Amino acid sequence: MGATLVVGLIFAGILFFAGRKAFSDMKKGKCSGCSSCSSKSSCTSVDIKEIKF
Amino acid sequence: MKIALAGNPNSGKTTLFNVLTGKTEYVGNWAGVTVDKKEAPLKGKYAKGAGKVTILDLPGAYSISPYTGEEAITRDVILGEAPDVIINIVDGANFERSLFFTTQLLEVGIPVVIAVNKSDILTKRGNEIDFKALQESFGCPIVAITANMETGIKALMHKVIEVGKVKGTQLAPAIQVTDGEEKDKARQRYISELLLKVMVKRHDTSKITLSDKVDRIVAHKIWGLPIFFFVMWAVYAFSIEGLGGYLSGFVNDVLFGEIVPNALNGFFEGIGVDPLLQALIVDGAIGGVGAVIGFLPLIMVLFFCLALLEDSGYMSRVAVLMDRYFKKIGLSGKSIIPMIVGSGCAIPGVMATRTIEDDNEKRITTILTPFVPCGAKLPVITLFSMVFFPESSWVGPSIYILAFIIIIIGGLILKRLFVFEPANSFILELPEYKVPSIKHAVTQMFDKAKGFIIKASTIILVMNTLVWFMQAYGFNFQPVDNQSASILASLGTILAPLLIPVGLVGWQLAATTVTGFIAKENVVATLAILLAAVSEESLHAPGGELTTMFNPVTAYAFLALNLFIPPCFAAIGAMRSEMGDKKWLWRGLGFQLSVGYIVAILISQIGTLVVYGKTGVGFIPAILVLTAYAVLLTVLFKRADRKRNA
Repeated sequence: MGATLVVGLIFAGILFFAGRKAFSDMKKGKCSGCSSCSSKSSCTSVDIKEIKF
Repeated sequence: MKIALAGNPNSGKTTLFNVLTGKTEYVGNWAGVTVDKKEAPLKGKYAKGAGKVTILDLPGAYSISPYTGEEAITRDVILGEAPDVIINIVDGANFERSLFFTTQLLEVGIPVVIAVNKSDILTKRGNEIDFKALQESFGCPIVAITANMETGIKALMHKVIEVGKVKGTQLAPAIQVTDGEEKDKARQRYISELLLKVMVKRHDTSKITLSDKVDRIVAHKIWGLPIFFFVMWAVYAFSIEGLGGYLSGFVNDVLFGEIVPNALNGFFEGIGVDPLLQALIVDGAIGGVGAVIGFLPLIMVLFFCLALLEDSGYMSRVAVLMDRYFKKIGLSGKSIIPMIVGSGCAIPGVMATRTIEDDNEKRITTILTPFVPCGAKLPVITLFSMVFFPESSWVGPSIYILAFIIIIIGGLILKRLFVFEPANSFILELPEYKVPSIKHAVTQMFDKAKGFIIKASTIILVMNTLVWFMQAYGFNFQPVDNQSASILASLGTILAPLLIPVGLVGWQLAATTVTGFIAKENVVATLAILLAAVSEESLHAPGGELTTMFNPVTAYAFLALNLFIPPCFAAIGAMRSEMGDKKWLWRGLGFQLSVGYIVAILISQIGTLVVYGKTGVGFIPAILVLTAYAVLLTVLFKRADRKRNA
């Protein structure tokens, strides 16, 4: 019972941090949803201003 | 101190940025790789006595008056953020043309230091420039560098920091505009006249070089395409069948197949951990993540080979080659760059559509780019190749050929539906062929590996744990004896009828396809978890447990379904951002979903008829779906024609 509790807590902790990282990356538009992505900062956050000639 | 790197596309800005900052940003041997600004601190060894120095890497631009989205970013940063110094990277391989942008930068007023990059090519070609005279004419320091070999960098930064400390104002070159002459023409005339004075020796451009001779073969209108497919087949054969496959086999079968699970099971049993928690960790988390991580060596070998190809300059020739076919579907060869970038990951591929000026062309390219199999899809391709086609090396490359056919047909359909003007002409600057840098390829390889591991240990770990829980528990939150009574089975059963026209039966396959929307590697991980509960046999074994769900034809159809339906969530986010319009995003997703579905149905039903000589499962529903799709397309075509003729 004790071992189950300790292992369960450790696993839950790992899962919590993995989930938090995945969620925050997704929220910031980072590429954690796609492996082998070459974009280091963000995938979607750049605003392209209207081009005036 | 803020230092901006500005210059023409493919002049080597990001290579210099990586050297100056120690970063490993993606570098490609073609124009349009950087489409966003990047910022990082200057390495200590180059920043002596300058305090905190920030380096800004900007997208390439031919002119300060922007023509494309990424050129606008460059203009906005230079004019809006006012860096202390601009390092203008001048491409030694295209010296005269690069100076047009240089003269514009000199007029902004911010101190400029010119770095003549690829100075080795300049010398190799037999060009000789009097830098001292040029320096006097421009009124700014000029330093010759070769960024990829890290030569001349210390001298450059010494000069840049010296200029930055003075905080002076850059004087503009004296360009005289004659009556009625346009400013840009006067600028070009000024550069030509200046070069006559400072260019001591000029190489003969009419001479046919070795590079020209190679181009005549690899970019040939008939031989070019077969050569490209042969090259891709060779890369795949080496990666999947050769070294990559061997290493992945070891990681899959021995490391994650025996060593890790046996060790963990022994440990957990020894300390008395509850069997359910043990199964969650070993079969769910480790089993799922391990099934994906097992493909890491293979992916590393593949990306190493692709980085070598790209760095050699070959991929730019592929873009020229494809232009011929792309013109026919209303796109230009410019659309091939996002697709080549997308073979690594769909996200930067979609972002690279920013270099396309025409809105319709950009949107169509954004929709078509995710059809190119990205790195995340490789584990899925490899798994099905290993299990169902262990003796065939054509399955991986065939997916690329299939993707190419789908892009051409998809492009024709989209053009008919949404494009009413002819495509723009395409001019691509071909970089010099060069011996690819092993260091660059190794950096790229480890970079992709890092991304792969991060993803496996975050989103895939979370998803696998969820999938394991959903297949082991019922809605009453009690463990189930039979998977078919689980939460996952209940949800999968709702969607399973949709797969019947594809000849696929079973809630497991529907559930697998849904988890693949989150991240494509989840297809492999979910199958690993689902099958681990019913069999101890390795997921990757040829003719293994997976063959109870598919025959080779339906396996290939399922592969096509998962590869060609909409990409992962993150890539959909990038599509939304680039299209800038929800209506177009939904059109794109609808198109991708329908293409993936229809292609899978066609492969399954026609394949079954041809290979087994009988109709497959779901033949009648397949006919109904295909008929409905044909009717829908006809109606949409007619509506578009009416709009076109109005």
